[in-house]
Order: sequence, then structure tokens, then C-alpha cells
Amino acid sequence: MRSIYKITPALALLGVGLTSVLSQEERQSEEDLNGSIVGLTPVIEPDGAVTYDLQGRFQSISIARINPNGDIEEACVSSDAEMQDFFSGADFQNDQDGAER
Amino acid sequence: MKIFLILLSLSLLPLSAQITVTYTDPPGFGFNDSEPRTPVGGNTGTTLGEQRRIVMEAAIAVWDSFLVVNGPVEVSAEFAPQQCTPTSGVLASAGTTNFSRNFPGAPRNNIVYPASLMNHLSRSDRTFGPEITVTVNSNLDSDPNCLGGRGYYYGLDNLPGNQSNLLGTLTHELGHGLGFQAIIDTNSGAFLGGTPDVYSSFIRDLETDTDWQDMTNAQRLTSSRNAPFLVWTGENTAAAGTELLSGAVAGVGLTNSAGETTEFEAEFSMFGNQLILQGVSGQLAIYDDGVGDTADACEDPINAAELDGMIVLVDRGSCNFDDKVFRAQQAGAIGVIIVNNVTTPIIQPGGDDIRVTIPSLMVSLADGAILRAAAGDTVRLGNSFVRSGTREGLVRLFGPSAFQPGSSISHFDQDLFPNSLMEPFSSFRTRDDPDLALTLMREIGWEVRDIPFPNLTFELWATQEIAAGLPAGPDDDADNDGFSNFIEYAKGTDPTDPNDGEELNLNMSNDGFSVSRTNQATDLTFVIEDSDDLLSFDTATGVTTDTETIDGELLIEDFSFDTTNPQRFFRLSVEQDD
Repeated sequence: MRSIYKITPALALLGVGLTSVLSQEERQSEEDLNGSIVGLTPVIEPDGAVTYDLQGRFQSISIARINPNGDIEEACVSSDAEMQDFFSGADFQNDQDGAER
Repeated sequence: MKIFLILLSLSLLPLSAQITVTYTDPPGFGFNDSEPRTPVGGNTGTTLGEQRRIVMEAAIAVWDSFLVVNGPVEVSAEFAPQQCTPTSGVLASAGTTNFSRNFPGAPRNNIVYPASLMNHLSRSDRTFGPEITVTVNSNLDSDPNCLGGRGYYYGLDNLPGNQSNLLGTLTHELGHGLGFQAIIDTNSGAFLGGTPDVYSSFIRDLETDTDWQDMTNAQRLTSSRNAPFLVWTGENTAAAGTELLSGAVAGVGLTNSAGETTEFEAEFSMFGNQLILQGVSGQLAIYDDGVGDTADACEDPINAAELDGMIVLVDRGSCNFDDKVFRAQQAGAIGVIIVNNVTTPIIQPGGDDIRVTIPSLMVSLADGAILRAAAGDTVRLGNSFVRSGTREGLVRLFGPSAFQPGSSISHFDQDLFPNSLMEPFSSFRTRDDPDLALTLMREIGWEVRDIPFPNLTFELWATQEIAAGLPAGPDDDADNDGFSNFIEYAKGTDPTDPNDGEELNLNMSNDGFSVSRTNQATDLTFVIEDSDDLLSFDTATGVTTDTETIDGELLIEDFSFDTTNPQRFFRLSVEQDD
């Protein structure tokens, strides 16, 4: 699954549009942050072991944002909802709003 | 003879693999980028690619220097464009490639293990490919619009300034790949294949007092957002927490009618009487102003008579902290507990109203709910011995709720202080090693050498070192070598090997006293006692209690003799703490 979305430097130079590249990058993040076990099938090995190929899912992603004060802040997430919340600065806004009350 | 011994030692070394890395980038790109660079922060690389490889290998070395790796662990690493805007973006992603259960060497049946740990436990290469994948966002260095064009910091000194510290990021992400990772379906709460992963098998929800592996899928999904009740049950990590984590400065002690006391972490306000040691106790009452959130204390109370002489609980929000506390004070309150109104960490309530003279502090939303239900019980505001980021003595895990609905249980809680490598948010750390993640790795199955901080109690040590059926009490002697199990614990010797054991000896030199001891005990107190006549001993005077443990040796320095008495005898007392 990973190789489908990978954009090599050579491909970028061939003129893939910015919108398309961003879309694929976002799709890659979504795939990395896929936390579903649906469709992950077990392989039963001759010695009785049972193995699941995660197919690129359940990745942890380090992300960063630049806060209004200019500081860079980093976090590690494992779901798209966490990532979007961190990017939106929802928790940062809350702390600021609540600092004096 | 000496040479023979060295050769013998070498022949007995276990076959040990290492964590290796394979770079999959094409020539001239990513880890192979040939752009010239000036060495930075201890990174001697002279091209961008070389600096990146040096950072990657330094991150691996952080783990490799502690883990005994008995099967191949290959990290596949690449740079690739990932999501990024001028103000936010992906830094890197990582994870394990597969999970397996019931393989030869698996210590527990029907528990799935990550590929790297499986190879270690089975002492073989069962995956025939990388066990961990790492992808770093190439846009950070190539796109001036990505996160303001700040780029990665490639130094090894953890001084990134306003850049992203790639060493810290990669060290953290490798921790996930090595097993610091729960695998549950984020939509249903189901385990992979219906059996727990080894990480999840150590998770407990203290609110329901239920381990994750004993929950239904729906219960587990709900529990995954139930901070601050989610804890890691590993006892080595709990013991290490008592050594590495600081005690909370403030706390609330709630004593119920049965006389049982529960401690809650808190933050003192910046105004009013800031309690240090004395504390204040009283009955708990709930503020009621009859408007909106009736406990937010933004209007005068309608139940003032019930607040007189009480410790009063109010809610955060809608008006200033010092206004709330002053209104409660006017009604006769002797202290105020401010309950956070969001699930983000508690803060130090600010304010500058000099009319406030009573103490106040903030507790978490979850702890506030418990306190609110205990109106009428006795509470104490004051210093606390609750370790930061712990609950009931166990280290807490990160269970986000309001702002992180997807839930990421694969981190320690963000409240740990000093900060931990495996917390979800980057922060300044004082240690170079993976701190509590080392004990956690040991508990999930890795063999970890030389954990550089105490992580044992006698009971835990006895369970791990003395086989079932052998006498394991502190006064017992499992190997009949004449030294009790307790002495072997204090000394750090093998309690089941009669050839490994010796008395604890107190040594004296011009620099002070010393005794060789284990570095791993968290529950021992060493006391120097003295006597003039060998008949009665007391704690020695003239011997400071300042101690420093270096490489297993307890040094007791800065002693002085009472020169008026030329005869003085010393002995060492070792006590097990409660």
C-alpha cells in the first residue's frame, strides 16, 4: 500500500501538480494513521504461529505546529482526529482562554 | 591464566544481534543526499545525507545500548514528502510491520508481539524483512513554506533552538516500533485477532479497576479515553517511578468515613496563602451561586451558611480565579479547591487579589468529580507525596478525550515530571536514556541491560530472582550460602547461587565510608551507627546523611571524628522502607 502513494523526487520533477502531491501526502498520512484491524488477515505458519501483516497501519506520527508565539511544538499521534486537533490548536486555544479564569 | 580467563569470558558471551538500519532512498536523495553541510552540534557529517544517517544511527544507539537483541531487528528508513503547511506538518512516521502470537519462544500464549520483539524472543529472523519502518518528511528541508522553512536540527546535543530535533523524534518513534504500542481497533476497541497485544496486557483502568484484557471491546474503547485512570501495571516501572518522578508540590487528601485517604495531584494558586508544609484540613462543601454553573463562584453564594469554616469546591471558568476564591473566603471558607473544567492538564491558577488570604489549588476534572461526590468528607490541602503522572502508585498512560477523540494510548501521560521520552508531546528532558521506557520494555519481554536507575522492591526482586518453591522471604536463604535473601538483595548478588554472595561490608577511608550495594533497590535505607562500647549503637553523629550512589557503591562522605573520644565503633544498618 505504501508504494502506491510514495512520491519520489524524480516523480516530483516530472511535474506532478502541487494539489495532487498534497492530496497524496494527506492520503499517506491517513493510511499511516489507519487504526482499523478490519481486513488484516492472519497467516498461520507451519509451527503454529499466527502472524498479522499490519499493511502500514497503526503507525505513530510525529507532527509539529508553530504556535502564535512563534514556538514550534511537537506531538506524537496515532489517529487522524488527534492530528487534526493538534494542527487546529484547539488545546492551545483552550489553555490561553482559561489562563486567567 | 589471565589470558585463559579472558578467552573463556569471550566464549561465554551470548550471541547478540544488533538493531540495524537499511536506507532505501535513491542516490542523491534523503539519507543519501550529497548536499554539503557544515558539522553541527556534535554531528560530524559533511553532507546532508551523512548528517541524517548519523542522527538515525544515534537514535538507534540510544536503544541498542540498553536492549540485548537476540534476533535481527532491521529498521527500514527513508525520506519522502509528507503533509506540511507553513504552520503545521508531519515530521516523521514509524511503526512495526507485523504482530505475531504463539511463535516458538513466546513467553505468553495468545498474546501478540511486535515483529522486533518476536525475533528477539524466538532468537531468529521470522519476518524476513524490516521489522520497523521509518519515514521522515523530506519537505521540511526542501520546501521553504513547510513549517516556516526551519528544517530539521541534525545536532546530537539536543539543542535544536527553533528547529525540530530529529534525534529526539526518531528516538521516540523507534520506541513505538520496538513495542511501546497498543494495537486496538480505534473504532471498535477490538484486539488484533481477538487476543491482546503485549503492551495492552499491562493496561488497567483504575476507575473500573479492570484490566484491558478483561474488558469487552466496547468497554475498552471507552476506557481508552479515560484519563487520568489509565495506568501501566508493570511493577518495575512503578518502582522506578518512585525514584525518577518528582512528588507533586500540591495535593488534596480525601479521607472518607472509613478513615481511608486518597491523594490527588494539584497545583497551588499564585495568590493567597500558599501552603508549604502545614496544610489545612476541613469538611468539604460545594459552592452554590444558583446561576448557570452553580459552582463556578462567579456570583455570591446562596448557601453561604453551608460554606462557613469549610473547604469549598468551586468550578473553573467564567470569572477570574481570585474572584472565585475571594467570594468563598467572604462566606467563611478556610480553603478552596478549584476543579478544572477541561481535560487538559491542571494549571497554576493565576491572580493578584491581595485580599485573598486563604489557600486554594486546582485539581483535574476527573478528580474534581470524585471530590464533588464526597461532600461532607474530610479533605486536606497541602503538600503531597503523589508522584507526578502516577495514580495509586502506578505510572499513568495518556488517554486523551475531549481534544483527541481518536485516542493514543501508546504514551506515558503528559503529566510526568521530569518529562519522559515516551510522552506524547515534546518537551525538555534531563536524561539521555529512555528513562521509564526501559523498565516498560523489560516488562513486555525485552532483556534490558544495566537499567541506569533503581526499579526494584524486595518483593518484586524476590519474585523475579527466586524460583517458585524456594524460600523467598527476607530472612530466608534460598541458596543456603549463609547470607539471607535480604542481604543478597541489598548487595545485588544472585540469591540462588551459593558462590555469588558475600556479607555487606562497611569500608572506611580518609574520604568517608562506603559500601558496595545494588543500584536497583528503591526501598532500602542505609544508616551508619556508632558506639563507644560495642554494647549500644545509635545513629552516628558527625556523619552526614548526604549520600551518593555511584556504580553500585554507596558513598557516605564528610564524616568527622569526635576527637575527645578516641574509641569509636561503626556499623551499617540496612532497613527496608515501608
